[in-house]
Amino acid sequence: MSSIPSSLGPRLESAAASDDSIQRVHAGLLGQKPEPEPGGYALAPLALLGLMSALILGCCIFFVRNRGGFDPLVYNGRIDPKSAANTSAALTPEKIIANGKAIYGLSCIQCHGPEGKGQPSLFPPLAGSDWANGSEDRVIRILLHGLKDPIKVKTVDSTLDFASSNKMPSLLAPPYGYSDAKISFVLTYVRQAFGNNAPPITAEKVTAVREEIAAHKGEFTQADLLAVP
Amino acid sequence: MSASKPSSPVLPVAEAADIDAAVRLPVLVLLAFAILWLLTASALGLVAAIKLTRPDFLASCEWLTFGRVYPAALNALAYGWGVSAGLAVALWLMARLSRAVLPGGGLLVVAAVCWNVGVKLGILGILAGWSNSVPWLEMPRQVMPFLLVAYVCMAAWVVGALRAGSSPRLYVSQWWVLAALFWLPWLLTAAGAMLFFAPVRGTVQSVVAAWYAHGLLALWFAPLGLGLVYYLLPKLLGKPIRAYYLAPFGFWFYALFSAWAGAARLADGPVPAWTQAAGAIASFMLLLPVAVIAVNLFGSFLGGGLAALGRGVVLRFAAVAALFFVLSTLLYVAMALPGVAAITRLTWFAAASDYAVIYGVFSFAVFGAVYYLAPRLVGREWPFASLIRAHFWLALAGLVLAGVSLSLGGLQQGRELTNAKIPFADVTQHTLPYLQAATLAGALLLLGHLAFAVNFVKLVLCPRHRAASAAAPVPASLLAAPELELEVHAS
Ligand code: HEC
Repeated sequence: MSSIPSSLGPRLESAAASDDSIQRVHAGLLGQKPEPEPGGYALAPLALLGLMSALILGCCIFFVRNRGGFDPLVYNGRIDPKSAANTSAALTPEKIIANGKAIYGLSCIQCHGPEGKGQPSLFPPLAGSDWANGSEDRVIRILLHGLKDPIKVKTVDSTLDFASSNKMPSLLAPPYGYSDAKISFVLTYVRQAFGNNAPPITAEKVTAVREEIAAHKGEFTQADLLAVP
Repeated sequence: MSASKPSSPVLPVAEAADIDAAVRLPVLVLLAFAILWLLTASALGLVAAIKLTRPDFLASCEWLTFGRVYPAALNALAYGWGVSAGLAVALWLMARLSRAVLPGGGLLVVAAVCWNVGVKLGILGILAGWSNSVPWLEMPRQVMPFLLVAYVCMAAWVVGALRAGSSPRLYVSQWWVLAALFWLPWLLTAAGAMLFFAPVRGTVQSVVAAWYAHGLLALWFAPLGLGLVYYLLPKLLGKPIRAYYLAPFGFWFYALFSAWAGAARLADGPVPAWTQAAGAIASFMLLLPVAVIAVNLFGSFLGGGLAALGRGVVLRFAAVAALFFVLSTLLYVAMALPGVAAITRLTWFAAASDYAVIYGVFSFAVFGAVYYLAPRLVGREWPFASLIRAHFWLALAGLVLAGVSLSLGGLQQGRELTNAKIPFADVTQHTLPYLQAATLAGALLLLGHLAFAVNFVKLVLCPRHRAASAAAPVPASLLAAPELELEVHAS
């Protein structure tokens, strides 16, 4: 192009190329191979190819990391539904109760009975028991290290002076060896089954109590428990 | 001034005079409607902007409450101005590039009137309180079939121009314009059916709504703007598009990824994670066509082109449109990144990038095209050169001020919204200065549009101007166009 023709001014701008020639020239350019740079390669297509490969790679990585397992219910891509299911954060209250019920059926039912009523003069009741429904710190201690010697159990309609040579076993010791999470599940179940209505107990709380009483040896007694709030 | 210009001895006839004459009536009618809508939209938009900072403004009028004025302004801008003006310039461009002398523009005028009546009913519907709750689709559903029929009648004409034309070659502008013409009815029917007439359930609705909103901007407004810029640059610079062999690549990649990129609007939102991720990567891939288009368009300015910017207003409008195309796509890419999305979504930042497309890309390209084509259609010069310059600078100032204030305000708003320690009322309070700046921008835009409208009305309607002007109709020699010479880039 020799020169860009000077404009007629904004009131009527002059064309510098006719429609026909624009189309003819560009149709020619479309078939034209890019001119090689001094190095022997055309730079622009190479750079473009590099950009494309980098983008595709980056996009694949991004998609795999943010796909959320293709789960229609996962809205946050950074959460993997499979690993999330194993942590207690993903547990619903229903699951906690179901877990607790299963543990109760395995480990408590033989002494405290299917209805949580215990057995007269052998095992105390859990239904309505002030221990089961009361202080978290005390009931967690009972399950962690067990309980011995006479105790007084208040239920909704009666007060029982329970005295038997039977002991409540420690659930940390063999054959139980329960995790803090399991203990929290069964306690939450006991506190909400058999007509009981006490707040749930978290695994974190159980952990905290276990660390607090790590130095304690053997079963607790009523006097030990009444000393804690 | 025209008298002093020596006539070119090589090409003494006006370029494409018969083609221009055949589309004169429909193009001018569509443009007149479009400019009316542009004024309406900017006035409504200004009212909405004022209400954001001064809620007591016009508060007693039920029809002008914010929840109605704001969508009314957006819809007037998109369908009144956007579609009418887009079709007007598309018709002209298509007729010229296909070299088709279109018969019977009368039917087209009828369709144009129908479309504008439909939009008017829709806007009144919104103001009367019958709007839908889908962004960019607020017009009552009853007008949608009507609008669609009117649109198809008009677009068919443009497509017909391509088939009837005698040009053996297609130019890149024609791909973009043609694609946009097909994309809009696809978007409208699919979104209308899935949202209103046979509504899909649950989160799919928000996915469809986001797809539509993004499609309207990225598959209608941006492609039309690009088509115009691809035409105007060689037309006024007299130089071919740089690296033109890459242009088809840019087109196809853009078409492929833009339709998917809409889901990125829902980043960190209530839709399945894989949908968000798919939208995000589609947005990232857009970097590829944008790089190609940037090389094509900005490459044309290399070697003397920048100096031409100082001389021609049309070229300046086109250059701003090219710049904002790149800018707005980069903004969309940034907003698709999860970390950024957490801050920008639901803020003014997102709105700013939408305005950048509809205003910076599309409207600027159309303004440039109209300043080039209208005098050729009418056969007279624009009456006021000063108003043209005023329009450009006011529009640019308004665009930049609105863009900067809304995106900065949006960033601050987003940062504070994610901070639970800052009460919501304070967040709102802190965005006020930015919104005030945006209101000022709205006023500048309205002024610019008024300058445009006055010039246009005087150009088309006022016969006295013709008599008073030193030279009566412009001599054909001034409307001639020289040949574009083939230039080898590497030399
Ligand atoms: C081997 C039988 C046995 C098993 C198994 C057993 N307990 Fe006990 N439990 C007892 C006895 C005996 C006492 C009373 C101890 C005492 O008198 O000091 C007791 C007391 C308790 C108490 C406090 C008193 C009361 O009635 O509230 C609670 C709570 C309790 N057990 C819960 C459980 C839970 C939960 C399980 C299952 C994880 C369980 N026990 C398993 C025998 C058992």
